[in-house]
Amino acid sequence: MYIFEYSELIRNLVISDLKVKYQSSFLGFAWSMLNPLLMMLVLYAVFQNIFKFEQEHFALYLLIGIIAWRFLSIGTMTAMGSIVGKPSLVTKIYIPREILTFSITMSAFISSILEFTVLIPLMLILGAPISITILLFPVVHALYFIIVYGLSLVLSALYVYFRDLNQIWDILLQIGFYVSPIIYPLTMVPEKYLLYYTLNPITRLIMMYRDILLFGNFPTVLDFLIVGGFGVVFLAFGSAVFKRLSLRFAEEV
Amino acid sequence: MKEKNKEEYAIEVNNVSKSFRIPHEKRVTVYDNLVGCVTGKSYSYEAFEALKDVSFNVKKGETFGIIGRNGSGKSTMLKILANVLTPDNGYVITKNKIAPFLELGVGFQPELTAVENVYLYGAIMGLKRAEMDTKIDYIFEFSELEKFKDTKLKNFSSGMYARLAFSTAISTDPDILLIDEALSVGDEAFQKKCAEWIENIKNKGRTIVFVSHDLNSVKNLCSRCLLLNDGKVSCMADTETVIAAYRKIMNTSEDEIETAHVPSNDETDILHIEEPAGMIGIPEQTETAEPIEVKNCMQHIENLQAVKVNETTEISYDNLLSSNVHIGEYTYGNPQIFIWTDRYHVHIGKFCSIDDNVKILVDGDHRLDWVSTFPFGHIIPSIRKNIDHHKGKGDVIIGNDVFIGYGSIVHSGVKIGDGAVVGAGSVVTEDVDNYEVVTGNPAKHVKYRFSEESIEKLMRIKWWDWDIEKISENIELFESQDINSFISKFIKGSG
Repeated sequence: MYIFEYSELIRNLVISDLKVKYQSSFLGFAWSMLNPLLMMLVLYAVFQNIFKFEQEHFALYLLIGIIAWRFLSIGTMTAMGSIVGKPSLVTKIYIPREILTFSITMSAFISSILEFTVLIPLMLILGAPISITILLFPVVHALYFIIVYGLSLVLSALYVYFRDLNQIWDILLQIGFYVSPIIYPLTMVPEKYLLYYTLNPITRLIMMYRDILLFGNFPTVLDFLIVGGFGVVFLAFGSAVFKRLSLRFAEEV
Repeated sequence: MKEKNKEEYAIEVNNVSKSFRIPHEKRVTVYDNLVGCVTGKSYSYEAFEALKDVSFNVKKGETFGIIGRNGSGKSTMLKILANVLTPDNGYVITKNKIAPFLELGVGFQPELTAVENVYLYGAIMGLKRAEMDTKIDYIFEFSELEKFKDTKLKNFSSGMYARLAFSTAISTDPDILLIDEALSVGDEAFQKKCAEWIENIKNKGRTIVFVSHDLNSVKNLCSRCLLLNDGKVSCMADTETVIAAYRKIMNTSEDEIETAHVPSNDETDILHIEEPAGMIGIPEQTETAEPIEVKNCMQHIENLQAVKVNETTEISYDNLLSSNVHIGEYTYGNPQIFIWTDRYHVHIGKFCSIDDNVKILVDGDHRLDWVSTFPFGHIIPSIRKNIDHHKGKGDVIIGNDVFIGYGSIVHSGVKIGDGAVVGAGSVVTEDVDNYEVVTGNPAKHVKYRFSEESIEKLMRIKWWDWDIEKISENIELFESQDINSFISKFIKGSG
């Protein structure tokens, strides 16, 4: 398995990517947190005062959704360029090319974990209770990683051949942002669409994050099964597409 | 995997073909493809066949050479062996760990220090950190860069970079090495070290696949060779035989080689090329030559290819000519040099580009001032030879960095200065100045390439005497139009 065989290389690639992202400083991380926090504040101001949603801890509710969404959007967008961005590792030497995509997804994953940890002091400040269900976070986050990695495999491989894919994916992500219950409560969704709505694994994941982090509820087994099922399918499909398309990477990069 | 009975092979290549797509209209976006669908143009591309049905085996512990002209598929083959490219047809079986030296310093990052880069390279090669720990001292000792361990790579000179990259690459101690002309790094002493290292690795029983233009290295290192021509196996046999076949290819046009010299490879994997038909005899001295040989000599001279890619490439003329023709390093081209007696010499400097169909007439003029122009003694055996028959005006001296365009003729006794340009189809009868551009029949002055002042400074700089390292460091300047920056960078010291 390439992940274990090349663990040293993956570690190296992840670290160098994180170093670039945060300019090797804590302040770099603080800057990167500014974006979701500001977004949360703006949305909070707009929705709380204009639409008057009755959702307890609406600020935290928003922030969890935004941070969870950021892993998908940043993870897939950066991982998409993982093959194209390292031409010398594709054309001059053989390494399993999945490693490049894996490392970038992993780097986004670590960033995401850091962002989630910022929630804890915020919860204390805003007086939200911290429940035992928070211990399920690693499980949920790991399942999410599998989904994002599966998507990234498809995207990074296709991007080698279609260089405007990032524009298209950007638009799809924007649609996804509004289709998922990030900035509004699930109760807003009309009952007749609710079934289809919750089939979206991202919707389910965001609900799970809120359950375990904010509301202290255990997600149902069905939640885990659905999300895990999507993960397996995405990963299998992504790996197959990647394998097939990687045959001509060295010529196209 | 077919393991049975094939244990002794380190690499098996079976009927490998590879073609590259050269699209007529490049579509790299979804948008392009949608537009293509709407306008109804079908997506068409030309397939360029880089390798056609290539098969060979490399035995364990063997040093195997791959030679061929530019574009013959050598590098594609090496990339397939390295698993970077996937063949369209056929398959490659390799056993054990392969270290490709397709390019040195793969993955090196300028912002990291030398040590960090070494660890990164190890990681790319799939080594654990602990394994690299044991090699790190060796790497820095071999590269003689102990003092620069913690220097960021961006502050390295290109020579230091190459040395570090090479030392790191060899430290991974692979079972199979693929070497693509990566050996020409560093100064002479370091190159010697590299050669010793390869010898050492060879003795350890490691398998080496070596791709090079440098026939001397191939001859010294490899026991067996493969000659690729136009993506096909042209010849595979012991090194001597294959090099002889390669020389023939270099000396003969493609059509001729296809039909005349190389048997088709349809039937067997390994072809044993016959010894090349003995080179046409060249008389040492024209005075003693028989008439028939004189004719042959002429023929041979006409076919002469004075190709010299770098100082170690052998030239295909011999005896008479080699002592009279002097060609500087890196000069390339295949001028026809008409040289009849050994009274006159041809000097061509370094870094000259000589286009096809260029003729250099050194002597061989007949005597217009004698009663008959016929060279009696050289044609009719019973008449004594008279070397005075052949007239020439003197040595032909061509400077450095000279470009001689297609089909030009350079007359005897002419001196062409450094940096000069001779336009295509010119007939040069008079001396050409440094950095002068001439053209026409007879060649007339067109202009000077730079101002008088610049030329004077360029003649002081004499960049053609630099070593390649220095040239490669400044390659951007060489390839720019900014003559002033070039001069000001290098003239400071001298005045």
